[in-house]
Amino acid sequence: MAYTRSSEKRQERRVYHRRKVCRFCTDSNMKIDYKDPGTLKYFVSERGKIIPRRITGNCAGHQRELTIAVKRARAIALLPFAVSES
Amino acid sequence: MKRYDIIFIIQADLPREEIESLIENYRSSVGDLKGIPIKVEKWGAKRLAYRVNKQIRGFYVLFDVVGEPALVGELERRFKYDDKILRYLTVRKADSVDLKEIEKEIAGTKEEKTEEAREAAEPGEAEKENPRAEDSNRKRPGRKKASEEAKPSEATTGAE
Repeated sequence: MAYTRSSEKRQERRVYHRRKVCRFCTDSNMKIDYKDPGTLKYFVSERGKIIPRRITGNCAGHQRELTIAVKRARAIALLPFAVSES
Repeated sequence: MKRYDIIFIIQADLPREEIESLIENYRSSVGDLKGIPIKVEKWGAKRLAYRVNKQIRGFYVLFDVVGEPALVGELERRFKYDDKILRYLTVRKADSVDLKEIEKEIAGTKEEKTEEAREAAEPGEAEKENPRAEDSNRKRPGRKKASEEAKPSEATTGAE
């Protein structure tokens, strides 16, 4: 019983599911570099937070690299730690 | 010998000559500490993402350096005691280096340097958005487990 219910749910979800692909995997020109705030900016919210991978669709490996890069960029004031609401 | 990226931020409101001499000073001290400076990139005065020591602008300088770990320790110690340095960050890029490759790279960057010098003579160079565009195409040694070694210096903030 429980089994059938879960499979139903899965089918339902498939309707909404859209496959996101990692932008660093598809585009070989894009590189994760802590010295380049231009590209890092796309993966940081307006508040300065790192956007989770479930939203950006990054793969685990690249997300890991990205977080390190963002944190380094913050340390040398290329990216903000937090953006206060004005 | 390991390869490092050393980035530091100088106060941008200092006179230009003073900034230049400061960079030259640190560059020569890399040589004194048995390191080889591969290239020195001046990104120019940039807006900081947040205020550091009550400054809103900072002059970014990047050293690409080969040397022993002791070099980084000594250089960071000097940065720490220099009030004109707002921030610094060292990233290890490669654990071992091939000296022949390095020599080749230095020969390659020398040519670029002359171009850079020409550009520097023109005003507005300081505001150049992406001086690393040509750099990103060049092959870089993969940075494996490069650890973040420099922490934002709280000590300097307290000194203000």
